[in-house]
Amino acid sequence: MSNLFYIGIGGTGARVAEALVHLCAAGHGPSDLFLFLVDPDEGNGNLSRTKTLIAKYQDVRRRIKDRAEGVNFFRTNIVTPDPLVWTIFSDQNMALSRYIGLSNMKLTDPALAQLAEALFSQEELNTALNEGFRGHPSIGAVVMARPDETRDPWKTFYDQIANLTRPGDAKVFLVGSIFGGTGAAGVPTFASEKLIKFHKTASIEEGKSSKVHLGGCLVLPYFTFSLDVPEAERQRMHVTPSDFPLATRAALQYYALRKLNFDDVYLVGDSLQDGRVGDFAPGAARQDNSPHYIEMASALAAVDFFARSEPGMRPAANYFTAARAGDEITWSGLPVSRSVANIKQEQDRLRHRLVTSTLFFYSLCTYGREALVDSDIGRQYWYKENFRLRIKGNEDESVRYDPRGSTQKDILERIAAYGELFLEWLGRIHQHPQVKLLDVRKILDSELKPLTRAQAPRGIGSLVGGREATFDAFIQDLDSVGELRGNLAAATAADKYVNLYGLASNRYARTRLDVQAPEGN
Amino acid sequence: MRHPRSEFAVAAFALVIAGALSCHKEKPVAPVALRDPEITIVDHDVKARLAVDVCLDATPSMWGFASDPDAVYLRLLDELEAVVQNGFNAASVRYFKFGETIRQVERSEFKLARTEGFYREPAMFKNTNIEKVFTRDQEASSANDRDRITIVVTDLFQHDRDINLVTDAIRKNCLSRNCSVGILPILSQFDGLVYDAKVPAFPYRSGAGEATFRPFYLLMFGDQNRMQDLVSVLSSKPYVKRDRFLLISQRIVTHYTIDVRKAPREDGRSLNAVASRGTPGTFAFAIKKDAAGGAILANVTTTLCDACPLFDPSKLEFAAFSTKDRQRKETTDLVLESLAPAPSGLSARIRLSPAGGKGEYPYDIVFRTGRLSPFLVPTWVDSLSSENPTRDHDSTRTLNFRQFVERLLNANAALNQPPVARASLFVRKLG
Amino acid sequence: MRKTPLNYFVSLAATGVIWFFVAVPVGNYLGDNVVLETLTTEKFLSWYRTVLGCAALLGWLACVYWFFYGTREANAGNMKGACRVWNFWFAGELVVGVAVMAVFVYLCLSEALVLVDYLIVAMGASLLTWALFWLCTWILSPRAVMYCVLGRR
Repeated sequence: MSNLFYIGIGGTGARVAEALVHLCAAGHGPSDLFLFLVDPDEGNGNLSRTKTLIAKYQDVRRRIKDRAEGVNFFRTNIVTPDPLVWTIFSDQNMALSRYIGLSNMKLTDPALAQLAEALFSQEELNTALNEGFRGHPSIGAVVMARPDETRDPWKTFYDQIANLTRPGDAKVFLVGSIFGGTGAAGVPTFASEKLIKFHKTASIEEGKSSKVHLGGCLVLPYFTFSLDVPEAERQRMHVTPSDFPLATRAALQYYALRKLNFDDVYLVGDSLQDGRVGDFAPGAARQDNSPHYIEMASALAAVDFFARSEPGMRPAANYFTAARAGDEITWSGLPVSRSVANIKQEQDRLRHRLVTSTLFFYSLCTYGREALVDSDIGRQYWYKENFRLRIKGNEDESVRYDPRGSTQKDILERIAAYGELFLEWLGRIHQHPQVKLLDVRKILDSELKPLTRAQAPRGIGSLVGGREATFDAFIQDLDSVGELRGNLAAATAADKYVNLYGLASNRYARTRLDVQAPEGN
Repeated sequence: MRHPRSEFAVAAFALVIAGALSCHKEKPVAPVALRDPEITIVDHDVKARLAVDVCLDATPSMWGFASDPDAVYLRLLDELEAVVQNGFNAASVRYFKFGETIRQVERSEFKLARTEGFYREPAMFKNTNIEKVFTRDQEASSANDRDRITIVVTDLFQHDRDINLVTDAIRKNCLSRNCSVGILPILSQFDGLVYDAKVPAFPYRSGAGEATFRPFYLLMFGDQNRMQDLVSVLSSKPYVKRDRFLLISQRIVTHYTIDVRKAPREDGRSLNAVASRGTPGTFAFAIKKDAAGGAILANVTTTLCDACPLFDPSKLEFAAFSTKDRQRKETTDLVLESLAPAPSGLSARIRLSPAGGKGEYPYDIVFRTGRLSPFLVPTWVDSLSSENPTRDHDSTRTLNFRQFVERLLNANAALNQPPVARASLFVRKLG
Repeated sequence: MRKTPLNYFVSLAATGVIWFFVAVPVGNYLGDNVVLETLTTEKFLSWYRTVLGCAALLGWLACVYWFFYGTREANAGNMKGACRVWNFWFAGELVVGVAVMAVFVYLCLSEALVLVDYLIVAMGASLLTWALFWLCTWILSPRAVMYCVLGRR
C-alpha cells in the first residue's frame, strides 16, 4: 500500500503525470506511488496519452522481476485505481444547469435559481462540459466539490488514507494549471478543508491534525498555441493565450486570499516566448499538446515533495517558486530540491538517471533489437556468457537462457516500445530551442524515432556536451558487464537482458560520458 | 579506416624469409695453410750469424778442376768467402783440406788450392775420406751448432766402396743428429784425370761448352734453413744453379692444408661433425649413441720446400696418437684404410672407433714419409750420374752419384720419417 | 589474463617457454641423432633454432595483433569481421608453419635427415606457429573477441 498520492487535475495534471511516469521509468521516482487523474474531458489527447503510458509502464514493470544493484529503471510501483480517471460526469453531455438541477430549482427554490443565473451566464449554464470547463474554473469548482466517495478512484483513495494512522503519513500532491478550466477549478477545490486534508478519513482528533500532508503544484502559463481558431469554435466558449495572464493573476489573488490547506505549494512557470506546444483545440482528442520541460519541472516538484517534505503543523504553507533563470534550460537550472544544500547533488542525480535511462532505452531499441535477430550474436561475449542461441525442447531453459524465445522476446519488445515513448517524450522536450540538457538530435530522427547504429555510430556518445564516444564502446561496456551472477544468474532471459543493458548504460555514462552517480544513488 | 592486417602480414612474412635466409648456406671455406713447428720448416732469422767450414777435397782427382786457371772451381774457391761474409752478419769461414785425413789450413794455404801441389800432400792424397769431415775438430763434432755449416767441396768418390762409408758416416754424424744434408753440384771446366770410375783413371779435358764440364759438389751439413740461406746467397753466382740444390732434411714441408670430414653416406652415418675448438687443423666429431664409430676422410695438400725431394704419396705412413690426459700415446683407435693421390694432394680414408664408452677422446693424426724409399730422386741427379763412366761414355758424370743420393734419401727416411701433415681430432662418444 | 598488456607478456612468456622446449631438449635430441653430411651439429642446431625462433616471433606477433585487434572499440560489435580476422591469422600461421618447414627442408637438402627428423621439426614448427596462436588466443584473447577462437565458437 502506498502512502504517496498524486492527483493530476486537468490536461496539465495529465501531462505532468506523463512526465512523472517517465521520471519513474528513469528510476527517479519514489518506491511506491498511488496515482489518479481528474478530467471531465475523457477524450483529451493529453489524457489518453498519459493513460496509455501508465498502462505500458505498469505492464513493463510487472514483467521485470530481478534487478541488479544500480539498475533502477521502472523502480516505482505505480498503483492506479480503476478507473484511473475521475471524469466527474457519467453523462457525456452534462451541462451546469442540468448538474445543479436548475429546472427543478426554479420550481422548488426560485431564489436559489436566480442566484445561480446571476452567478453564471446562460452560456456557462448550458455548455456541455464533457470537453472540460473551457477556461471557466467557476464551473469546475461547483461540479468537483462533492466527489462520489463510494466509487473509484475516490473510494480507494479514501480507503488508503483511512488505513493510515499518524499525522502526515499520507503525502498527497495535487497538480493542475493555475489558469484554464479543470486545473484552475480542481486544485483549490480539492485543497479545501473537507475534501482531502481534513476529510473524515484523514482527520485526527476532530481536526486537530491530519494524516494528510498536502502539497500542490500550480503550473503557471508556459505555453501558447496557434490562434488559428476554426470557424465552428469561434462562437463557443474557449480560452486563448491572451486570457492566460489575466487568468493567472486572478488565480494568484484568489490563492492569496483564500485559506487553502496546502502544506507545500509549488509555483512553476515559464514565459510565453516561443513556448508553442501545438495547435488550437478546445478539448477532446484534438487537445494533444507537445511535452514541455515545465511539465518535467512540475514532476520534479512532486518528487521533491514526496522525498523531502516534512509533515507537521505549520502556521502557514511553504511556497516554492521556480522559473527559468536565463535563456537556456540546463541541468543547473532545473528545480530539483527545496534544500539549497543538496541542489547540486540532486541535479547530478537527475542528470545521471536521465542520461543512463536514455542510454538504456536507446541501446535496447537499436542494438538490443538487432541482437535478437543477428545470427552472429552467439559469438558476442556478453551474449555468450549469459544466453544461448538455440535451446530446443526445454521450456525452462529457454525462459532462462534464450531471449529470442517468444515470451522473453515479447517482454523485451514491450520494454523497447516503452523506450521509444520515453525517447520521443525526451525529444519533444528538447524541441524547444532553450532546452540544452541532452543532445538527443544525435540519436533521434526527424520523427523522434531512434536512429540505428549504422545511422548514428557516434550518436550515443554525443548525448552529453563535450564528449565523444561510439556505440562500439557501448558494446565493449556490455562485454565488461560479463556474466551476471548471484540472483540474476537464475533470472529470466528478459530480466538478464534488461540488467545487462542497464549495467552497461551505467558504465557507459560513468566512463565514456563522465556522468557520475552521486552517493546514495 | 584501411585495415592494417595486410601490411602487417606482408611485413611479418618478409621477416620470416629474412630470418630463414640468414641461415644461408655458406660457401665452403678453403682449408687454411698450416705451419706447425712439428711438421713444417720453421721460420728463422736470415741475418743471424753464420759460421762456415769449408772442407776442400785435396785428392788428385780435384786437380783437374784447378788446372784451368779460369775454371769455375777456382772462382768458387776465391769467391766463397766473400759471398759468405757479404751475405751474412758476423760470418766466419774456416778452411780445411782433407783426403785420407783432415786438417785445418789458413787461408793463405787454402789459396794454394789452385796449385797442383795442394792436391799431392803426402798422407792425404790417396783417398777421399769424406767421413773425416765429421771429426775435424770439437766444434764440428758438436751437433747443436745450428749456425755452422760444413761445406765439403769434392768430386765425391774415388772408389766404389766409398759410398757406403760416406753414407754411413753422414747418417751417423748428421742425419741422426737433427742435421740436414745439402747437395749442390757445380759444373766446372776440367783438365785432368778422372779417378772415381770403375775403370782406371782416365784423362779428360772439357771443352768450351758447359756440356763438357764435369761436376764437383758442395756437400753441406748443418741446419737446413741456414743451408738454404747460403745457397740463396751463392745462387747470385752464375755457376750456381739453385734448382739443382737438393736438401735432405727432417722437415720437408713449408706448409700444408688438411681437411677432415666424415665419410659420406653409410660409412659416416654414425658420425656427425661438430664445431671444433677453433684453431685451424682441429676437427671434432660426435659418435652417436650405441655406435662404434665411422669413417672419416682426410684431404691433405702439401707444399714442399724448393730443394726438398718429392715423395711418393702411396708410401706415406699414418700415425695416430691419443692425447688424453696430456699424454701422447700411439693408438689403434684410428686406422688408415686407404691412401691415394688426389688432384691437389692426397686423400686418406680412416676408420675411427674409439675403444671405450661415453666420453671425450682427443687424438693427433700425423702423415709422414714411410721408412722405405718414399722419396723420389730428382731427375737432375740422373743427368750427373753414371754406373760406369769411361773416357768414351759418361765421361762428365760421377760414378754412382744417383746411388749416393738415393742412399742418403733412404737413410733420412728411415731415420727421421719427415712428417708432411698433422691434424688434431676431438671425438665425443655419446654413449 | 585477458587484459592488456598482461596478455602480451603472458603470450611472450608462453612463446619463450615453448621455443625453449623445442630448441633445447628437442634440439639436443635432434643434434645427437640426426645424420649430417656437410654441416656440423652446431651449425645444424643454429639453423634449427634460428628458423624456429623466426617462426616463434611470427607466432607471437600474430597473437599480439589479435590482442590489439580485440581491444579496439570499432571491433567490439563486429563479430563476423572479427572471426574472419582470426581465421585469416590462423590460416596465415598454418602457412608460416609450412613455410618454415620448406625453408628447413631446403637448408638440409644436402644432409641425410630422415622422415622422423623432419616430423620432429614439423612438430616444433607447428607448436610455434598455428598451435601457439590457437593456444594463446584460446586462453588470452580479449573478452570481446574470445568467442571467435576455434573451439570456443
